[in-house]
Amino acid sequence: MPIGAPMLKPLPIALFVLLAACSGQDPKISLHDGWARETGQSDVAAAYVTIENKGAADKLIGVRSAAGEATLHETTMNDGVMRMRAIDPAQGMVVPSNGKLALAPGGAHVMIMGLSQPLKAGDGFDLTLQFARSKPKQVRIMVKPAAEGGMVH
Amino acid sequence: MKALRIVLWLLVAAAAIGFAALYWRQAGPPEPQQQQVSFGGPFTLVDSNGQPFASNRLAGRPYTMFFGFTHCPDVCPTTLARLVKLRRQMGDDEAFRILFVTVDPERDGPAEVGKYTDLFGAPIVGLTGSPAQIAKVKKDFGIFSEKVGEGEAYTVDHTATVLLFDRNGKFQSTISPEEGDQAALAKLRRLTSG
Repeated sequence: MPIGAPMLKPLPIALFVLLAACSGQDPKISLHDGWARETGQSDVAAAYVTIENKGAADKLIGVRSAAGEATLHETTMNDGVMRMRAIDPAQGMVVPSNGKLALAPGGAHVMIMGLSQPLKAGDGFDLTLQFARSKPKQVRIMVKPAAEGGMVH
Repeated sequence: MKALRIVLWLLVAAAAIGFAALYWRQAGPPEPQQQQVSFGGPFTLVDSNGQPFASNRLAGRPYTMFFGFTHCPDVCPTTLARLVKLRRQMGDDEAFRILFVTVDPERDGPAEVGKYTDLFGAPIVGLTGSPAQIAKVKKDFGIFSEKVGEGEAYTVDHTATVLLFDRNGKFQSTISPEEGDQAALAKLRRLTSG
């Protein structure tokens, strides 16, 4: 699937929204700790953010940013081999009720390709997350020095 | 006549068993040992100044080897940042060398590799090479990599395990990205204490 062209298969999401609506409760989403690593010459970056939900379950179904072409990606490890794949927007990622979804190094993250300019430590940019039930929410992504945040999930 | 035929057949059978035994001894058990000994081995790549970098320059200090590519946004910078952080925790940037070897020599020339490793604000040896040199070093060190996607914006799936070598260049251990910092630090301390 081309980057930045979400082909929403409506059924699973619609079903999710319908089922969730039956609970009679709304999700209460807030976004925290948005950050990215400085990129040097590369025009590809990963952005990380913690999605907190103090209400009913929701689904993260898309991302966008003026910084570049943003998509949801997931890093998986299998027998020591790292693979990176786009997350199907038709499936999305569950933000559990009264829980968290952490987009963090080594796991699910926002991949931004075709950066209009390299990310430098101290810079920042806005990222918008789209949900199945909640309205789109914006978070500020702070760019950190490359050597920071060298932790695993 | 019949007795002679039986003796001849017995000889044939004995020869077959003998050859099988020889073959088994040559191709069987010794192989894993050989592989162990030859794991890694000497290499020559190209450093960030475009100069040849031979592995004998590494003698005398332990080193860690990580294969990746500079357009890798998640696992590669996370791993390098982690190695830098752990080395700092050991209180000595000279405790061991960190080698970064690109698996994407088409995009990562000496300059790209140099700018990338410079980002981390601590000494990292960035290495590239001709596609043939990189292919050889990948084979010697058991590294898998595979291009994914078309055009300019391709990504590369690759082995993300960090390889640990002692001060004599002998393979000692590995650090997986899924391993916790404490376990990784313990391995690095063992590596540098030997």
